[in-house]
Parts: sequence; C-alpha cells; structure tokens
Amino acid sequence: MQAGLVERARDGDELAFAALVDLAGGRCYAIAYRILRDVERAQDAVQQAFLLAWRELPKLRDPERFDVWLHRLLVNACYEEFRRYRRWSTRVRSLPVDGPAAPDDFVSIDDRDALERAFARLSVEHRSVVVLHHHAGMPLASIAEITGVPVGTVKSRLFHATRILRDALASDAVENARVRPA
Amino acid sequence: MTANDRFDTTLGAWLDEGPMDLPDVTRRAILTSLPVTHQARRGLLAPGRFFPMPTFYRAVALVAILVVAAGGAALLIGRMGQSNVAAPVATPTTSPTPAATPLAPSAQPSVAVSTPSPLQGHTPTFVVPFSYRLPAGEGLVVDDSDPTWYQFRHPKADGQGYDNTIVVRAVEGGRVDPCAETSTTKPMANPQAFFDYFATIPTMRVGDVTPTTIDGNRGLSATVEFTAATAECPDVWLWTEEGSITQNGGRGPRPISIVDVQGKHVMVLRNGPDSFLQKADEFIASIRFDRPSSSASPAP
Repeated sequence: MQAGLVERARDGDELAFAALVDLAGGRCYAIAYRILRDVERAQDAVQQAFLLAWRELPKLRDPERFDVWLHRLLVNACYEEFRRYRRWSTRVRSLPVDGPAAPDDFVSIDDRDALERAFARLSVEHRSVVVLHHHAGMPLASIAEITGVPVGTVKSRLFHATRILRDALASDAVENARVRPA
Repeated sequence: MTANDRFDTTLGAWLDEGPMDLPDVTRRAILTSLPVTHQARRGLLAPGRFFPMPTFYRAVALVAILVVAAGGAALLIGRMGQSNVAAPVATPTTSPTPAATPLAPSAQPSVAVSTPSPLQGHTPTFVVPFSYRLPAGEGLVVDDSDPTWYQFRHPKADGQGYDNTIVVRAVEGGRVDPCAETSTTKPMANPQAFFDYFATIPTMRVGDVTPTTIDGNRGLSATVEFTAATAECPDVWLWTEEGSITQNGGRGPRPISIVDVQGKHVMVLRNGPDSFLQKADEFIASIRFDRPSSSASPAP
C-alpha cells in the first residue's frame, strides 16, 4: 500500500503524500524528539525532512526504499537542527508537552536526570545511533544505511554512547548510595 | 536480572518517554507548504542522485571549477605572451610570494611530498598508549571522531564520498562468542592467537596468512572475508573493543594485519578497490611508532 502512495506522491498527488505523512509522521517525530530532546526543534526537523522528501520524491527510483530514504532525510535534518542551535541548547532545555508516557516510578527521577545529563554530552551522531537502535529497534545494517556510515562505525558509536550512558547511571547510583546510606 | 539487562531496560524505558504522535500544528504546516513547494523534475537522461548532494561537496566542486578556470586562464595568458618573451627558467628556489593559482590536489607532484599528516605528533591515548607518526598525508582524510579507533580514507574521484578505508586501532582480544554482542571477552597473547580465533568463526574466511612487519614490529597479515549472515550468527562482534569490522557478506576479501607493538596488538584493516589497496600499503609502510623513551621528544 505504501509503495502505491509513494508512486502517487511522486507524481504530485498531495493527498497521497498527506497519507504518507499520517503513516510515518508519528514515528519520525518520535525519533527526532529523542535525538534532539527538544519539542520545537523536533517539529522543525520533521517539517524540514518531509518538505525535502516532497521536493525530491521524483528522484526516488525505488518506492520500496521510501522508509530508509525518509529516515535518512530525517536524521540529516536532526543533524542540521542540532548544529544550528547547539550554542544555546545546552543552556535551555524544553520539556515534552505531552509529558512522560511511562509512570514516574518505572524510571526513577535520579536515573532520568543522569541519563538526560549524559545524553546531552553525546554528539548528535551518537545520539542518533542510540535512538535508532534502542528506541526504533532498527538493526545495525539499517542504521548504517540511514546514517551513511559503515556498520563498524555504527557499532563503535553505539558502544561508545552506551558506555557513557551506563557510566552515568553507575556513578549516579554510587552518588545516591553515598548521600542516602541504607 | 543482570546489570546489562537492567541498563537496557532503564534506557529503553527512558527513551520510550515523550511524545509519539506528530503534532497537528506540524502536520498542517507540512501539508499547507506542499502547494507552494515545487517538486524536482528531471529528464529521462539526466543523472539522478539517490540523495541530495551535500553542501560541502557543492563547495568543493565550486572551488575545483574555479581552480580549473583560473589555471586555464593563466595558461592562455602565458601562451599569448610566449611569442615575445623568453620562456621562464624553472628553478627550485622558493618565491617570497605565494603562487597566485593553487594547484588542484591531483595536479600536485606525487614525489617529495613532505606534508605532515594531520596525525603527526598526535597521541591517541585511548586507542594506542603511544603515539605514531605518518610522514605524508597523501590526500587521506582522517576521521578521528571516534575515540576508540582511527579511520583514514581517500575521497572518490567524483567527490561523492569514499569507497575505501584504512582502520588503525589497538585491540586487546576477541569474544568467547563473537556472534553475541553481550559475550564475555577473550584476551589474545599474540597475532597468531588472533588468526587462530578468526578461523573458528563460522561466517569468517581467512586466507594467505603471512608474516609481516610495520615499522619493524612483527606480526601477521592475511585476507579476511565475511560470508552472508546466518540465523546463528546475524552479526559479528569481533573484538574485545567494538567497531571497525563487521559482517558484510559479498564484499570480497580484505587485507588485515596485526602486529605487536610494545606489548599491545595494533590492527590495520584495509578495504577498497585495488588501486586504493596499493595506496593503503604505502601508507601503512610509512607508519612510525614512537619508542617509549622518545615519546616526549619531537619527531626525528
């Protein structure tokens, strides 16, 4: 069904493209938000990716590759947004308007803060790999295709990012144990 | 529940927090922009790109065009003036002023290149606990964005990315189960142990194992090739450390060398067309590892 929509949208059918936005928009927004950790920046990145997709769609030869192609446009848009606002985004942090989807006691406040701080230290390339793998559940080969780097680089980035996040949680646990001895 | 499981669960739950639906305002903004956003059209014979050309490569292409145009103009002016003016004598003396027209990298002489590598004097403390030097850049681009390994690449002739790579990194060993990301690690005593280990991996083929040296440090070279992924081994996690090589069936054999340097194993992997492999071999032959006693002193 999606390939048919892509073909119609490629021929300029706006309704077909709207259907594609409805099909893939939520997933794209969820990924962009988690990479950028900012509602407005994520909205901008998704809008930029979809408009670029609409403009360049006639050049997409294989409609079956639409998903990979769109995700690559999205990740590149996130890179651009991240770099554009990097200077002050470290000082200003928006909170999600929808609020947390999981109950607070599932991820403790301490863990959440530790992860937020550690994630903020990661480059946008490392963030992308973590989100695409751990949130979107994509295999490493697909992530390599989307991010335009070899699978080995994806693995390396994932390893590096995971270590930083894991260390952040571990050090936070040690700190808490010190502050609140049992 | 293991520490790994607990971490994965916590990270997954944290990532699951947050919005999942595209806001209406964004959807409307996209759809209302469609009528005023013209779709690209291309003729049947026009070359197409799967992805748009990055801004960096556009800038590189523009600079290359300007350099060629300036060079052509200079050549034309030179020929016009040759009828009345004696030909200039080429001398190796240096000019006090820089050349007006820089040569494109491909037009530069391929001999006597003394451009220091971007890594000269660099100490990648995480990867290799000693510095190494490379006397000539040779147009290679260094990717040191990852602290665990270094990657050297040569841009393709059309400027559209790379089809080659040289990876340099220190490796401690392998995995008890190289098909599992969470497997425990297995340190290796020497290069031979690495190649014995490779031979046990079901989706990896090793051939032509021969002795080699890099800057006088002894080790082994071979070609390695990965077959297609299987259900039992969907991906290979080859090293104790991560990255740099994986399972990509059908890419053909790639040369790999592992040498022992001051008690550490240094791995060099080459991948690319034959023309690049020759360049890679020259590059590897130029590597000089600093000795412990001279690590703090400048390069000889």
